[in-house]
Amino acid sequence: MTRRATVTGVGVVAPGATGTKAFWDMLSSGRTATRGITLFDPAGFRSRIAAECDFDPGTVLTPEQTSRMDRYVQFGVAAAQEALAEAGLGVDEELSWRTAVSMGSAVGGTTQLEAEYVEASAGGAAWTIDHRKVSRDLFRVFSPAPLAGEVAESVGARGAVHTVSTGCTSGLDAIGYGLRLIEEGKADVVIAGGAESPVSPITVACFDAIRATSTRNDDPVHASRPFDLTRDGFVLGEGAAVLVLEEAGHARRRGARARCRVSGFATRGNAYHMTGLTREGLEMAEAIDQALWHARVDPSDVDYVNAHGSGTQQNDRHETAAVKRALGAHAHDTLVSSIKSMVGHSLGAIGAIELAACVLAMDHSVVPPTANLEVPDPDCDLDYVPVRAREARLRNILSVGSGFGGFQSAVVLTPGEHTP
Amino acid sequence: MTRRTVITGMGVIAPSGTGVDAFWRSALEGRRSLGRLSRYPCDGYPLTVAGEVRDYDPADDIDSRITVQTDRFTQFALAAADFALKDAELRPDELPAYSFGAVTASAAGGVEFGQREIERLWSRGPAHVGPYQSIAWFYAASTGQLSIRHGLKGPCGVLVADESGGLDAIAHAARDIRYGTTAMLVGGAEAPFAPFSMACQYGHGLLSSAQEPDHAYLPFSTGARGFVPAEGGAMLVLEELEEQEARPVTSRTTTARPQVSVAGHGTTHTGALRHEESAEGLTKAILAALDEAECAPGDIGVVFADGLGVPVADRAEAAALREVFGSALDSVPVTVPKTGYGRAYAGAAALDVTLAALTLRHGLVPPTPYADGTHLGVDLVTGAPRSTSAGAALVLARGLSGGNSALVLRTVPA
Amino acid sequence: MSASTALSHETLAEVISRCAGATTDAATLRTARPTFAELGVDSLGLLGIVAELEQVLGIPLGADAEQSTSPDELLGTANALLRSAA
Repeated sequence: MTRRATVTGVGVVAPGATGTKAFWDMLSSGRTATRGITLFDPAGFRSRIAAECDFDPGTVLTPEQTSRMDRYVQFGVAAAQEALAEAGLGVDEELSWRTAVSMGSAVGGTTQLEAEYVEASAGGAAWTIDHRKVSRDLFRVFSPAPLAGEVAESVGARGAVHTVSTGCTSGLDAIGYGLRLIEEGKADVVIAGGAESPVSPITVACFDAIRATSTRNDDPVHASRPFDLTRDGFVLGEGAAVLVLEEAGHARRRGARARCRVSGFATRGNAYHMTGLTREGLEMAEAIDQALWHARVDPSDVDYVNAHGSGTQQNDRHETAAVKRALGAHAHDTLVSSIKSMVGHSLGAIGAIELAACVLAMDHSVVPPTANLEVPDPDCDLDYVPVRAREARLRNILSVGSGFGGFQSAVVLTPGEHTP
Repeated sequence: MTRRTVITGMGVIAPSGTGVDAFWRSALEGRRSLGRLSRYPCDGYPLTVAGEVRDYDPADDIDSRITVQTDRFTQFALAAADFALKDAELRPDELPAYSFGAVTASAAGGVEFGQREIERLWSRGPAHVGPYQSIAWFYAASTGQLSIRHGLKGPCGVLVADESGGLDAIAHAARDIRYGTTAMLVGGAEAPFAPFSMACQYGHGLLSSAQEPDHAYLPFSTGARGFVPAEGGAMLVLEELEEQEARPVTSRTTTARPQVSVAGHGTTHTGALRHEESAEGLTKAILAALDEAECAPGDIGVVFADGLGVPVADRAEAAALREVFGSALDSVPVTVPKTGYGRAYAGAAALDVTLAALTLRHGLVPPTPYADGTHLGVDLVTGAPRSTSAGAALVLARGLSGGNSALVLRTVPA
Repeated sequence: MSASTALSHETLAEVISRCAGATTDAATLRTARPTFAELGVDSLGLLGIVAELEQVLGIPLGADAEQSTSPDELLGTANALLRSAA
């Protein structure tokens, strides 16, 4: 008997929008949330743009939770609570052991670690730092493992609890792993997603150093330009998204609405370069092939590809080549878009935020646009849904991601069992 | 037909020895490898006793173009993986593309590299941060570099996790094999000894404050006073049993028998630092692992315990074992060999699994170095190694963030 | 702000070895004239070399330097900039 994973709840904390309703309003209107960095003074940095969340933890978390949790953990817990509330799921004693958590984050508590480091090293003056100036609770931040742990505690999950950190594919991979936990019978419910708050000096500096981020500092709202000929790098973002994955029979028995299914997942390494991508995109194409095979979806039945679309020159070419290789001639008929044009690139969270967008797109039969796509790039010749959202019948959706380390991931969404 | 996973190669870099043979010999003799922390001046810090890798520098075996772009934790993983592939007599290019992947677990990431670059940022300015910071300090660095070094285009995974996550990573790789991958490199390696990284950890109060190695890490004892952290780790080559038996190997002379399979895994979460509640969580994890391995408790011939070295946590672990095994626990040898070299975070579990596999192969249970009195009702192996005819081993690990994991290894009938 | 002397093969070789880990020396750079690809220096390695040279020489080298295909080309770019800055 095949066990299937349905999506029964979604929660989002995104730049420019907290909560799924505001998030969808923003995406469907094509509004961008990129702006000049306000979380620290970016003077002296090459890229001074980010997509930041205006998140007030007081609206969803207790003061004790707020003070204990790093910013990215707050995002993750808030998204999980929204998703669980929407799913209408009460996690009792028995279900707690059958409820798993799989959360992705690429850089974890870097922001808080950096702030404490600066204090304890007198601004980088001493290698042997003064440990008495470090807060006693910093062990909770040291490794990102507490992301999944805190989400588990907030929802009462006591099953398998994992934090996944495959760089920029973390969010997709965490949800893919959640799918497998359900398929293999290791869990009946998985709280799966990603969270990140990387907007700190060291993270901005390290992307500066490799020329990966946009320097359109005088025009931040138009800085993230996936697939546009004038693109000049990605815009760093932050946020979180969580899907409640639930075994289909479990959801049906309690009368929950299955919005769609997470039905396929695959990840591959390009074994090529830590940051460089090939022109051909063979490994991403292979990940797409395998994810579609897992989902039993024919490539010609993919209605929408939610692209990684980071807005670097090499990524958008690589990805276009990969999608064409995997979908063949159908690549030109399907719709492709990148919401990073609006919410930036939040590293380990973005894969989950993008999948949340895909669930909402399926709900609304609307494809969110690629904002700022004004000047076509001859190397990127698919239909990227420029600027304006488009209505479309969406049955099978593919979401892809690509990250440092050479990782290429793909997740497939298909309609829920009761959808006509 | 169920796809089964066997361990075909092991590579180790531990404070007690480099390479699986040296590591095994030192485990059997109960070598005491803890010492005064030397990687940075530790005077005035709460932690002075540690397990350090001193007689081997992974950078000696890695191209300088790679060492400049990697932290020590990745260098450990790369060197350990080289040993493991050699042990398995497996050249990755012998396998079809996409059929060989990698999974690593890490709690600390590239902390030494990271501290150096963040120091440059704050003391000299953003332009002084080097291009390799972006790929050296993040947790995925080791898996990415392994994939590139060996052309591994199969599934690539990374768990950030403390001790329990090391076992979870091995289970994850076995799952990749069940889902169709032929072979996986999996394990964990850590290099946590940078001043700021360690300063982050003093607050939980579980690091041993002992000044002398002899009294620093004594789990299941009234003298327990916390644990001693370590660097290093292990990488394993896992392969699908039947595909492995069918693969042409240049020379089968070293193919070890009996084969050892990764047979079952269970994991639960009972909250950060809630040691008492870990008893119930660990019990459920063990039962799930036994269930998946199709093992009865009576089939387990040896337990590699978590052995945190914190009295309340040790009692919880003993209670979990008693709950699962009942009175039969009295005849199950329990060991904590890592007392000899320390807990290497996510690397600790991979080291334990290596020793557990060797125990099943050689019929000898390595002892718990430094251990002396009180054992909280478990039959702790101390002094000399103990002979065993065990056909299955149970490995336990708990994480400070709340994970309780159990892995069952079994010999495969010839 | 300007540097008083030209960038030498010796300095360049030292920076290449230190920042990118590639084994080379001034004589090799002068005679064999290897490309960065032949030295095994990738795009990130080159970015590190250029950033370090900017610190050593005290002038920005610009995007052209970051696209150099060989140490020879980088040396030429750097010395042309040094001459015009002098």
